[in-house]
Amino acid sequence: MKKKMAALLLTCAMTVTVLAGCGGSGGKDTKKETKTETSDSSDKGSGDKISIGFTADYLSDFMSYVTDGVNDACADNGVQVSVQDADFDVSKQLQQVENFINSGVDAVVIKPVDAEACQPISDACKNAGVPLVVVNTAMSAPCDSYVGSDHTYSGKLQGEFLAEQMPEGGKVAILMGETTVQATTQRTDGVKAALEEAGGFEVVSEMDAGWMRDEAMDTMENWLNSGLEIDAVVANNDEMAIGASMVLEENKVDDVVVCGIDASEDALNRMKDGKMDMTVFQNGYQQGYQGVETALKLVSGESVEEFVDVAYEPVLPDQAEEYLEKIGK
Amino acid sequence: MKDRSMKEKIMYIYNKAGVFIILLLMMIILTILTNTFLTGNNLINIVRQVTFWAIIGLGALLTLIGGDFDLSPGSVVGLVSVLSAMTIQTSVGNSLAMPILTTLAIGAAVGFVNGGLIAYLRMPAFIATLGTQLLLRGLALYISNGRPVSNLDSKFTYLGGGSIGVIPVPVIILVILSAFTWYLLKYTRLGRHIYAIGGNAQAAVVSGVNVKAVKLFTYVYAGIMAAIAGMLLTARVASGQPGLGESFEMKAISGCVIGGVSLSGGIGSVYSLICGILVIGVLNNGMDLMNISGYMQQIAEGLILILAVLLDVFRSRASK
Repeated sequence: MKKKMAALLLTCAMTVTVLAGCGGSGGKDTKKETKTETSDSSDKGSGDKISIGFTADYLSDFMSYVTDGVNDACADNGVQVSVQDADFDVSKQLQQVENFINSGVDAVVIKPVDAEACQPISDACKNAGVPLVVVNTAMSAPCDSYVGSDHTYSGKLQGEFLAEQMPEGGKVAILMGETTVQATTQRTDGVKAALEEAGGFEVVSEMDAGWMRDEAMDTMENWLNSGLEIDAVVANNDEMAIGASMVLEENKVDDVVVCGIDASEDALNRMKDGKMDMTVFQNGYQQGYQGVETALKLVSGESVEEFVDVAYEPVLPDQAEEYLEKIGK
Repeated sequence: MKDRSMKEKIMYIYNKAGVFIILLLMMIILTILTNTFLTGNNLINIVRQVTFWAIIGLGALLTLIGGDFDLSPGSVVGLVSVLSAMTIQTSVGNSLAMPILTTLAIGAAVGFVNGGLIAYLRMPAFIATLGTQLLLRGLALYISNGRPVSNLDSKFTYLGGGSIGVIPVPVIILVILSAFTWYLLKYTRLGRHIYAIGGNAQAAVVSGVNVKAVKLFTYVYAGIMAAIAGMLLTARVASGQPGLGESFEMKAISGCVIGGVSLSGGIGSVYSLICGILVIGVLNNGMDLMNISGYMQQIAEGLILILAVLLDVFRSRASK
């Protein structure tokens, strides 16, 4: 009996770790909250200060730029903000939005945990008459405005870069992020569409490396060992592109073009050293900043665009220095 | 043999010949199907790719034999990754002493907390280590602000990416740690006590084994192994990453179970762990070589794990 229980427990353990495996980062929010609460001092003389609730799907790496944008926009406009981390949990995000509404915020800004599961959030805001602005990831449920970048376009930029570099075409391998995520499918589709348009390209392999540098290294090693002919590696993010370029460097293969997305510090530095060929900058800071500004417009009754495009920007090695300064801010 | 059921026959063969036959079969099939599998370079790759799981597996092995398990190692990897990267950056003359000491200290501390909660405060291992798993990952993200810690000294990255001859440094470290663990389990009193508390805790108490202290030791050992794996992997990817090692504990536990380590405690060896981990490694590598899609790979890995747990359940029943 005890042994059956043990087996059962392990099964549960696996499920729970898959669901909850990512941990949280609670303390950071409160720190930022107090910072912005005290940092205003500006005009807005009309009695009560405007307040905004922002919930991120998960406060890490990229999202920290978005959060910086949100905080700065609020500080610049003398708005009070509460920043929450939904920790990749759909129901937690809904609770946070409900709490925002109950505490009387004037607008809600969210980065959805799951684009397909936001109907309750949308309903809650609508019923309370609170404007809802979505940043970074579009969702299926209605909202007042979406401020973000078109993932398909970032993949397209990578594909167009390859077409430019290799006019005669070539064999392309794709390193994908977690295959359940929208960004993965859209970025990959964008690459493929652009390559098809250019003609002469063949996608020889598509592998899931879960956004991670270490998994991408393993996959790249296996590609090299399998004897697969590859002229270019396109990755859905920079971490995987870095992993691939590290393995290529170790094996002294220098004629493979490597493209990433994110314009992260490490990637830009590798591009400066000639070890990576291209990345795409997603302006997370502007997404957050403009998300708040759009929300403020809604609060004051102005009309806003349904989709505010914060465009992706292609980054080439000679621009690496410029973008390093930009993200260092 | 005649009056045995089919199930018992399968179990008999599985126990005797072990997972080694499965591993060998897989390798033969892959050698026939691809002409790139059986090359020196590729074999070294497979071993290097599984090394980090295997080192964590050495710790998981002890906790499993002791009758419990540990869900925190993946997060230990993340925390160690961030902190070892930060310490090598600030370390005087890029000496490796500080990152190594930090790594061992984190591993031991986490082990003490896990073991204390489980052995002395009688918390269920599942909940206690799930708690530390969340806590440590959060800590890693908080300390690093969610961003990678990069530009690490080459002396440090050599630990993960360097080779002595053709053999990668992490593999050499794995061999040393495996030999040590094997000796510990097989030839020391402590090793026998670990088997005893997992096999039958009450009998162990009666025969004078300090069950709590032995259990605590298995968790400290698991913590230290996870921390070492974390530091080596950080050196390998040349960057401290708070998200590193996610679900590695599952790879380690799967490796153990596939190799024949019992989930109900008391049974298992370094040999079964290494074979089990290699099955996962060969499977991943083989499917990559044959260019099988990422979706299919997850399905295959899940099926193999279920099969291994089923075998374990049958074995427990048969041994009653």
